[in-house]
Parts: sequence; C-alpha cells; structure tokens
Amino acid sequence: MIYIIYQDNTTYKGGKSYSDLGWSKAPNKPIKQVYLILPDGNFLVMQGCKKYNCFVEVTQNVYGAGPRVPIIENVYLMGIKEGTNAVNSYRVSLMQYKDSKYKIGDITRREYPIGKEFRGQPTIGWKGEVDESSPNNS
Amino acid sequence: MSTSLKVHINNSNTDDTKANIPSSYIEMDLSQDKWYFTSGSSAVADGQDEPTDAELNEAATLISNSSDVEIPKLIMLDKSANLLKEVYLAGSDNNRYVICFAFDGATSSEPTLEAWDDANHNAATLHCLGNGTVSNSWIHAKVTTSSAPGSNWVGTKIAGSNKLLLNEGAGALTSAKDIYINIYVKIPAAYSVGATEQPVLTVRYTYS
Repeated sequence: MIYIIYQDNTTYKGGKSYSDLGWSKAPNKPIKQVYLILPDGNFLVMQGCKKYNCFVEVTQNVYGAGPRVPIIENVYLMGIKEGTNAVNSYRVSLMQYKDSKYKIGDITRREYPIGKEFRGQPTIGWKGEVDESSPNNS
Repeated sequence: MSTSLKVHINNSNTDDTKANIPSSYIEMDLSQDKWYFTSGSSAVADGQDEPTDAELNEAATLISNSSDVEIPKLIMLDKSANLLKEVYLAGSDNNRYVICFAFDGATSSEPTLEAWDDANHNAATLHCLGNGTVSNSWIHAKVTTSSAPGSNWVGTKIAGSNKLLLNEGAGALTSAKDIYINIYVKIPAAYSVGATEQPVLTVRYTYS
C-alpha cells in the first residue's frame, strides 16, 4: 500500500493491505517521495519533506453495541518540511459511519504542531532521517 | 506490521498479573462477550447463565437521594460457555490487576480508552456520559500498569474527548505490552433520570 523512492534512487514497496502497510519495515534513510495507494486505486504522493510517517488508526469496541471487530478507520500520511515546526497530515478515510461527513476515500489535510500530530499526541515511526523517534525528540 | 489487541478479565480475587496467575484470567471473545455493570442478584452472578432482560432489571442499581452510588459489580458474559464471570476486583477499591489490554506489538501513538454514545464514535450525550458535559461522566477508569490506584480512586471520567491514555502518558508502545486498568460506574446522588444505557467503550490505537 506504500511505495517509497529514496534520494539514492532505491525503492521500497510495502504490504498489500491497509492492515499491513509495511511502513515499519521500510529502510530509514533520506526519502524523495512517498506514494500511498488510495481506496480507489489512485495514489497520494508526498515529497519535499525531511521526515515522513505513515500509519493506520484502529478502533476496537470492547463494550456496548456496534461492531466488535477491529476497524481500520483511517490511514495517515504525514510529513515535516525542512525548516518548519509543523506536521502536514493527510488523513484518508477508510470507514464511513452513519451521520459522518466523511466518506470512504475522502482525504483531509491538516497541519499540527510537532508532537501533537495525532489527536493531540505525538507519534513514532518517522523516517527520512537516522533518528526514528518522535519528531519531538529529534 | 499489524498490531492487535486482546482483552482479558481477572475472574479471581487475587490481585496479580496475567503472567503470574494465567488460569485466573479469561480472554474476552470481543465479537460476542458482554460486560454488565450491575448490582447483581442470584440470577446475575458468577457461574449463572446469560440473564434475561427481566433478570438484569431486577439486578439494576437504585439511585440514592442522598449519596452517589457506585454500581457494585462488573460481570462478563462468556457467550460461548453461556456463563457469567465476575470481575471481582473491579471498582474503586485499591485493586491493580483487573482488566488486561494485551497488545501484541508496537503502536505509532499512545492507545486510548474512550466512551461514546454509539459505535459512530462522534457524540457523548448519554446520561452516563455526563449528559453533554463529558467531565461529568459516570464512568471512571484508571491505568494501573505501574502502580495500584489507591483506595477510593477517581481516575479519568471517560466520555468523548475525555479519554484515558493507556500508557500513562508515556506515549506510543514500542513493543508488545500488557496494560492493566480498573473501571467502575458511579451514579450521582438524586439523579433525576433512571435509564438503561449502553455506551460504547472503544480502544483506539495505531500501527504502521
């Protein structure tokens, strides 16, 4: 579901489903472009950033009504541009709830301060530089 | 790599980890097992079969005019065995190893426990979720992985945006981890509405 072109022109291809993005297994070195396959088969392409992150968001209901299986609600592709302190976040909806304004495949772009990029919390797994820790810690 | 969650309840009075007393823990079948917050009765008790609605109503907790009331029991229905299993240590007493959220791998952010009106996860207006004021939620939860909660603990009143950080604020899980929580429901004194409500408790997590 992801395809990475590195600055040394090597490439990496991730897993075949959103439940197996393969991002965590990707080599960590300077990145030229990241491609994320969208539900309709098109690509979301991100480039020009010093660091990137990609992950899925899962909800698992443990009490009450509704589906009781893990549901992948969204996939996120994020990047931090050189010289900025903001995270550019692209959220792709993979689940459509009743009364939600988002449909499957909708892309929502937002910008967050570093360290608050996912629902007000930091994320780990950033790639593009040697340090894989949270952008907060680099 | 995919990360998944399993939920285990401690069905004993022994306050110890799943690793130390594995036979006391029961893994929830998340697709069909249920929890009941209840006062309990002869029919709604550990070892009994699945209760009827009438039996659950008879075991409902009464609202007090003078004081807040903690719903005294948390009981799980083991659907496949058709047996009720009490989570004996759940509640505001100083018990640490009650419910275990077992993650089998790393996460990209800190997992959270959340409470919503329904499975749409976009509103928290039920009476038990504070009737529109999430900080007034009746559902108290606390992470106890690193220490016991203390007697008469309050924890986080979870509802909507009031969520429980499951790694105690330490951020994403860098590897597989067993996270322990305790939970209870407390009804405010003289609350004017009696109802049966079924909020949705959800664990939200990420992985790459």
